[in-house]
Amino acid sequence: MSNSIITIDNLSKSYRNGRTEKKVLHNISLSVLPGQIIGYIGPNGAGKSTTVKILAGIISDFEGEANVAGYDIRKEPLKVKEHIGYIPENASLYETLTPMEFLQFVGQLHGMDLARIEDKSSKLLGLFDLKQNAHDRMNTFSKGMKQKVLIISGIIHNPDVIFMDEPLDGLDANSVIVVKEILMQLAREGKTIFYSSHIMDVVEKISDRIILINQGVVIADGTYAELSQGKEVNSLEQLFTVLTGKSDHSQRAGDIIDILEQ
Amino acid sequence: MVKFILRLIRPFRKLLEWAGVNYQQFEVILGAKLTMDNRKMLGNNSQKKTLKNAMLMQVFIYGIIGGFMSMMLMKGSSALFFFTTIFFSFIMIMVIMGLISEFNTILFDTRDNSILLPRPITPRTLLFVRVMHIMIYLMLISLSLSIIPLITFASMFGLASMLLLLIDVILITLFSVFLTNIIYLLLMKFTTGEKLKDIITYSQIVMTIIFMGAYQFMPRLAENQSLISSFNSVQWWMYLIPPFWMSASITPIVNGGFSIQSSGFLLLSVAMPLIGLWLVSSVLAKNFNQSLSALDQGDTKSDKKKGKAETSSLVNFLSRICSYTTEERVSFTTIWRIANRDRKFKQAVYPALGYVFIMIFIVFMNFHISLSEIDKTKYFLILIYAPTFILNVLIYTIRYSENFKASWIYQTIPVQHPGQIISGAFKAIFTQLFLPVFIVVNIATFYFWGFSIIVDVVYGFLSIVLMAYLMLLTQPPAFPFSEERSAEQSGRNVIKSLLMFFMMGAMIGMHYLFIRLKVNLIFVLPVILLVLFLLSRKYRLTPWAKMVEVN
Repeated sequence: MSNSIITIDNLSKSYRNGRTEKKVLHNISLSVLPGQIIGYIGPNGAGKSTTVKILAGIISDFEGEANVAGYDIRKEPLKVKEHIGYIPENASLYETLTPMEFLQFVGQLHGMDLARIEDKSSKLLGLFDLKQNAHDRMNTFSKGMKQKVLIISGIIHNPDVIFMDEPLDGLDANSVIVVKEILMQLAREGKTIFYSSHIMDVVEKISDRIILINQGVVIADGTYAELSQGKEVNSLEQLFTVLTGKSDHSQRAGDIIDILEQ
Repeated sequence: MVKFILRLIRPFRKLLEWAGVNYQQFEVILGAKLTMDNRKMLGNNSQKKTLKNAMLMQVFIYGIIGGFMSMMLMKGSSALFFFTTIFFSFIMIMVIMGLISEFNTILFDTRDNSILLPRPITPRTLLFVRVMHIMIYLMLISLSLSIIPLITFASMFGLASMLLLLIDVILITLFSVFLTNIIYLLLMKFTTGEKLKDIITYSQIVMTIIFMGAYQFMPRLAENQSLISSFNSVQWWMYLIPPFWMSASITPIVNGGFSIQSSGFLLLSVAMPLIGLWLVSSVLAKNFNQSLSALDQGDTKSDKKKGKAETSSLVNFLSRICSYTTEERVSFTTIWRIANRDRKFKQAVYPALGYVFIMIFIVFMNFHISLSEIDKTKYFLILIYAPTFILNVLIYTIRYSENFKASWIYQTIPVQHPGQIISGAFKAIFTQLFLPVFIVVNIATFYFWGFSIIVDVVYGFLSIVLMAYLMLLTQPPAFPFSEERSAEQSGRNVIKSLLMFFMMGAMIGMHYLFIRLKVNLIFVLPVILLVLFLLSRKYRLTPWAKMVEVN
């Protein structure tokens, strides 16, 4: 679709070692319109993070085509990166820096001027309840505090597309609500959010569209209403278990207890 | 300090931009990395003092080495060519060894991939940040080595000559950095993922051994008078060896007699670093980001096959005969497995294994030992005790790991004596790494002296094991792979190495005394076995109170 802000066409990714090959993504094709919030969900090892990393330009060795913000990620990666923000799963930060220094670092790499970065950073840190920690080194921060800095670093340059991999990991309830609101308002302003997570209730509430991936293959793509039609489910969590074929949780829990008691 | 360094680099902005670097981003990233290095080092006040001392000590030691080299200049300006060749060779070796052993982690660091790779940073900018980051530290080594030679040059040949020498020091350092990086980048270009990591590890080990050997040979060359005389004229092969480019161009400038030949060397000394820069930026940098990403894509190697080999009947058999308890046996097999797989551990330890053979060769060379009459001598003592050099590395390296945080597991295990764990770990490393070297070296011993010295070999082996336990018992016991390595610890390990050398000297001395006094070592063996039993038991029974706390 020509209006799409993200287009993936037959995307595949394999890891090779000698003669063996492990394929983690199998010919994924999808497109995303501007302003959509995509909930990209799947079991562990399904290929969610791999997809996000390809689109964010971290993994460059893949088959197929991927376009983001009108640019081919393979041919014009720098152009893509100018228009995206990425919030990784594990809080990777330069922890000996302060939040202000880290945000200055990121902002300058995106061509922002220092005064603007400082102004935006102090306001954003304040809104995330980190104003008093703005000049403290992050190696003393809790996981949640680091995650907040990471979120700010992914949006401070006002990108058109934001890739998020478990962005709410470690956040307290208030911050989760704030982030949800941010995402919905960003989408209303035409930003595109590509959101990978295990927290189903958040995905269910904020996503315009849900894409479920399992073993490297897209097995469902649509709104929650469309996907749950004809199935006896009350939540995305239940829908997830039905679609991934793993609904024998009680049985499994019982089996585990039996083994422990042997 | 960071701002000062960035200001020093700023005059080269045009050169870097010519190489395709986004200078604004380059400064931002390099500034952040230097700031972080500074903060990692400073820590608390006592760490700050210790690290500052360690750095000063390093500068001091390199300065002394440079000073000794300057003594060659006492032979007068006729020895200038020889001195400058040795001097530049030494710098090249030290820079390349530093790059291989310590700073390659900067080049291959993938920990900040998720921070940097999604940002609009060109591969060239990212590569040059890393190269410059490494260069700053290596330049410290070169300049420390050069302090006294520069002063000597200034006093003997004037300030202009001193400046020329300084420029050549910078050029040889740049060339060495580019040369090593070209090798690494070529490796990255033609292989990826796990294969690349393995090749890097093993090539680093080989290069370390080669350069450690060269480091030993260099001072010996300086004493060779006939070699010095051969440096009176330029030979064709000198054009192929980088230190000669610098020495063969600076010598005629200082001494007079600059010729077309000299201009050829001058051109090489200036052009080659620039060609290195061009090669790195135009040819090899293009795929740097991709290679970094490939390095980070996790371990896809299935260890099922390897797992089978490691828990094979041999390892199980060894663990059973070496261990007294289940905990010791479990530790033995687990640490055996980790030591076999951990790249960083191999990189730290394997060069020492190769170094033993180099040291044996050098000692035999120094004593002018003739192989035809060797069986009439007592030099088998050198062969028996030479593997002791490895002990220091094994005992101190086993404590450290990048994954040191995984050691939380030790705090959760219901083991009465944690000494069982550390004892099993030591036995695994000793059996896996020390024993094969000892056996190989002593095959040569038996070859030259025959099996009549078997009691000496057994006695020597037990003495070394005894020394190992003494070293273990005189340091705070720590779980294997449970500590993060720091520069301060590296400094302390140097002092412990010196203590080890003294102990080794005492052991060899005692062995030699027994031989001279014609003591039958068979009667000494039970005594040494008893002492060993008591020491090893003490180590196995190390209580929790004594253990170094895990992070």
